Amino acid sequence: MSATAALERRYRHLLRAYPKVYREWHGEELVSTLMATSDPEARRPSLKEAFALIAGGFAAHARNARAAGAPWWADGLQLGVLVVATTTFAMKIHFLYDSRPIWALAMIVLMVAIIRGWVRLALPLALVAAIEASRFLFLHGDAWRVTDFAPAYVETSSMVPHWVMVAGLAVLAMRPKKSLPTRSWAWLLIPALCWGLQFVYPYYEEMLPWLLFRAGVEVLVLGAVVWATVAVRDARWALAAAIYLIPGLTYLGENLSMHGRKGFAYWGLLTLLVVVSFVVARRTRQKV
Amino acid sequence: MTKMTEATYFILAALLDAPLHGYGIIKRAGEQSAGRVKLAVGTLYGALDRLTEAGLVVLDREEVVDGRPRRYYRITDDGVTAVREEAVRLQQAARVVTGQIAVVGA
Repeated sequence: MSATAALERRYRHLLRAYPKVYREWHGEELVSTLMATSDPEARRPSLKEAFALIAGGFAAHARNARAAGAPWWADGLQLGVLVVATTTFAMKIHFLYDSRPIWALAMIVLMVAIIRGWVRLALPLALVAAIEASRFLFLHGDAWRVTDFAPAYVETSSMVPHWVMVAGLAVLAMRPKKSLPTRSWAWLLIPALCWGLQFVYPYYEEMLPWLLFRAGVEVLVLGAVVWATVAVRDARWALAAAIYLIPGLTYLGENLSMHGRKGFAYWGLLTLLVVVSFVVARRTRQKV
Repeated sequence: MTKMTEATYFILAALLDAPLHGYGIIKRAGEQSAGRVKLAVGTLYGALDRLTEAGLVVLDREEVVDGRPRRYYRITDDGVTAVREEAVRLQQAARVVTGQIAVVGA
């Protein structure tokens, strides 16, 4: 294979970092410019160009992921509510040792409503869920016998996610006649996967491999939020990430004495990444 | 006022004379910055996407050369205003230093 052909083939591999729709529109143009700027003897892209293409591909994905027709804050708020709903339902609904079919079904409907942007359905559902989940706190033990289709949490950190959803959806509902973006159905796979894991490893959420996996994903995703913020130059994902952190930080605050140095370092890192995202959004605002 | 990176500044500056295609922009930006701005292709097209979204650059025309599309980008009136404002800002910033050097030198 000639040097030119080998180089072009490698460039085309790197262009896979871009979204398909972007490649269809710009792909050949990019290849043409890449070949024109390259050393005719080169068989491999330079490191600088390879990095620029990967970064450019990620930025194109980030720009494509923005919801069309919604302001950045509504996009970020809806995404934040969806992330909190997804992680809460994935981790807090148990089918083996505390099966509550009505509650599970209601939470699936709530998640679908958030995914489809049906805020008028999602808000009352989230409100009923929040009141149900907090009934032990507000009504003490008397409410146990009145309604029992939802778990009655005693820790604030278990109730907070539900109130975060209510607050977020209430703000979104205040935009009359403004439709919300729809999100991918793939979000439903996250709770489905976690619920499936319950049947294989009933207490998987307390196992070290799971804790490490979750921590790794959180750090990676929040790192990606910083990078995506640089690409789109607004705070939509920083806002979503901050909303996601609220239940976790509430848990940390509620159980301060249980956390050692590692725990504080971990939550400190997550908080730092979110703060950095906001700082980046502010510094790059209106910058081209 | 639009804030811009050095790369963006030289991309807009490169387009002031006439519409250019990707390789033309890279070459001209390199020349006008005395070789300081060496745009990677991935960086250039990311910047062009942002500039297009901000309304500072538009697609001018498309040609096919050796079977590949070659798109020419044109600076808009808003783009000219933005790069001119940035040039004035840089000039004022430079004057702060060059003026003092002149006084010290005298």
